[in-house]
Formats: sequence, structure tokens, C-alpha cells
Amino acid sequence: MGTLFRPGASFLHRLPAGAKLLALIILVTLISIIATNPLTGIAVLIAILGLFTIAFPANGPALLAKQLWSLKYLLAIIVIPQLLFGSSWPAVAANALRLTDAILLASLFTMTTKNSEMVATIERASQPLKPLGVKPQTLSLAISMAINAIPMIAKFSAQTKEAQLARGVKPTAALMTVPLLVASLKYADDFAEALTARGVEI
Amino acid sequence: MLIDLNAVSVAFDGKTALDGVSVKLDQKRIGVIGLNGSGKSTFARLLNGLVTPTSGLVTVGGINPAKDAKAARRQTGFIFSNPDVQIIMPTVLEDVAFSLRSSGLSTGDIQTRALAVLQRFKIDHLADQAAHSLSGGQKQLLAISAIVVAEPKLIVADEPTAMLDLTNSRRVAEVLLDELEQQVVLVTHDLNLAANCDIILRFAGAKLVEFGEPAPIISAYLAEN
Repeated sequence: MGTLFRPGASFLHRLPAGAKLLALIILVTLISIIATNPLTGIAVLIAILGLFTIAFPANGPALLAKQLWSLKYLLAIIVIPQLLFGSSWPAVAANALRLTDAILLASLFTMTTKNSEMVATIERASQPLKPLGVKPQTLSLAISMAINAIPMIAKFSAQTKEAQLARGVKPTAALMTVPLLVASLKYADDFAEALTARGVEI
Repeated sequence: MLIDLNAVSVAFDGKTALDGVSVKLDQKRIGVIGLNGSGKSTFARLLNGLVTPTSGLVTVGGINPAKDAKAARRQTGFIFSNPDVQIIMPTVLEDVAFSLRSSGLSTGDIQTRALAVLQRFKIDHLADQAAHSLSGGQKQLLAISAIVVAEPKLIVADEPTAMLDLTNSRRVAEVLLDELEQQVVLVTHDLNLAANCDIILRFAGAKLVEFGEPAPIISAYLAEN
């Protein structure tokens, strides 16, 4: 873990990040407008499977399945309340499929786009926001750092869990919170010093 | 390049971290030893302005890091003991390239230079890998690459081998002491490493207690502790 990008030589990998980002925005907008029934949602999902296969000929379907599995809790949070409040099955399925399709497309974008290209695109796209006080370089750096922080937090979590197991304690969310927070704050502190040492001015 | 400390003291929250240190250094390999809390890391951090003196004057190559931290950081690269905190970008090549973001070079030239440094340290095969997935030694070589690509005149390494196994520790030591053309200040607990420096500074109780030829200073340090 640490980067979502997966190297490849497909045309999706070669497409400029800006074009892909624009296509993503258009496609997600279209999906939210036209995929109002489950059949359309499934048709889009099949098309996305095709894109995954083109991007990753060796394991595209498996990657898609992995992404789908990672959405299970999110989908449960979306689907269960709607069913409880009496929405019809087709409407709930259409909503869930719309969301799934949009997330899978976004995943495909991040999996076929190098972080540096994505950051450069975001930096370019946020240039017009300069008069509003937005610093494009700071914004893109913040996004990179956020992506980078994910594996570190995961590492702290694993270390905390291991330390608690070693002491004969069953790790629970309540027991994990404080050590995880302390480790994360220490990391933030050291990271800030390293950023300063590398001449980063935010 | 001359590193010049004149009656430098540093205090944090009323506690003295460095007490009246005066020394002039122009050796290529400078070792710094001492027990934990002796002041050696504070000394190292003074050199690129991560810490500023409470009193006294520090100049490195004529630059006062307390006054012109930006110029000091261009001139002095810093390597920390924990390589994880030094990684800013997600992949290896991107992290090295990040050091050149303000260089004015084109994206292509930045990539070429970053890749050349990775090749130099024999980690170019990891260029597209997630930086956090590397081993400790590879991460430390990445941290060195990210510093070297910016071509500083001085490299300060604060216990760079502390978290590494024997093989990786040897490789990092080899790079820092034998392969870099830059002046290196090496803060370390590894006395074998320190013994290979041109000069050693020994800190104790926030004071610079002695400096000079490595062998007698290491012997005195071992006898005292």
C-alpha cells in the first residue's frame, strides 16, 4: 500500500491525467442522471469491467472484484436505511449501483494515473482559485501527503494491535484510540520537521 | 566548507540543550558522538536552521541558518534516523523528484536527474514502487537520494543507521562515508562508524567536551561510560 497507482501500458495509462479527470467528471454526472434503474446501473458496471480489463489485462476482473468487496460496508450503510424507510428494491438497487459505478470509475482513474500526474493536474486545475486565496502548490502537496499518510496510519494501527496482543490484551477500538493518536501525532511532528528540513514552505 | 560555532547555547523551555559551544570545522567527514540528551542532535539541527541558538552565532559556509534558513536548507541536506518521516511523495521516483520542484527545471529534466540519483545508489529498479513499501535500508537510501539530488554542499545525518539491520547499516554507512563527495556531519552511536571520520566531536551534558582524532576520543568515551 502507499500508492493507488498500478503500473501498466494500456491506453488508459497513457491518456493525460487532465483528460481522464474531465472524462471522470462527465461520466459520473451522466451516471447520476441516466442510471435511474438497476438495469442501466448493471450495464454501466459491465462497461466498467471492460475498462478494468483493458487497463489491466492480466487481472482486471480480480481488481474490480477487490474494489467491489472493499465497498461492502459503505453499501450496507447506504442500502439498509433506505430499505428500513420503505424505499422500493429497484430504487435502492439503482442508488447503490450508481454509487458503486461512480466509485469504481474514480478507482480506475487513480489506479491508472501516477500520483505526480494527478497532483500536477490538480495544481493546474486549481490555478483559477488563486484569487480566492487558494495556493495550488499547497493544495496538491496536501493531497500527496494525505495519500502518503494512509500506509503510515495503517502501520501504527498494526503495531498498536500487535503490542496489545503481546501483552495479552484483546485490541478493541477503545483501547486502540489513544496509542494510535499518540503515534500519529508524533509522526506528524517528526514529519513537519522533515518537511522543514527539505525546504518545504507552506 | 567552514562550519563555525561561536559561543553557541540553546535552551528549550528553560532547559539547556547546548551550552557555550565554540568550534570551527572544515573536515570532510565529521563524526558526532555522545549519550542520549548530550546535545549532539541539537548541534546537528543548528546547521540547517531546524534549531536556532538562544545565544551565540552559527555560520555554515558563511550563511547564518538562523537568519537565512532558506539558503541554509538549500546548502545543507538533513537525514533523520527514521526514514518513514522523510517520505513526502507516494512513490520512490516522485519523492526524489519532489526535491527539485523549485529548481526551475522541466518535468523531463527533473525525472532524468531523479532517476540518475536512484541509479547511483542502485535503487532505480524501485522507482515506481510505493515508498512506504520499501525496507528500512532502501527507505534510508531513498532519503539520501532525495537529499543528494538537490546537490547540497553539506549533508547532516542524525543517527541514520539507528533503525537499520547490519547489512543495511553497512550500505548506508558506505554511502555516507565513502561515496558522497559532499561534506558530511554524522551523528551516531555506532563507534565503528565514528572511527572512520576525519574528526570526532564528543558531547556530554550539553557541552562539547572534546574534539579531534577519532581513536583517543573513542577510547576516552568508552572508558567513561
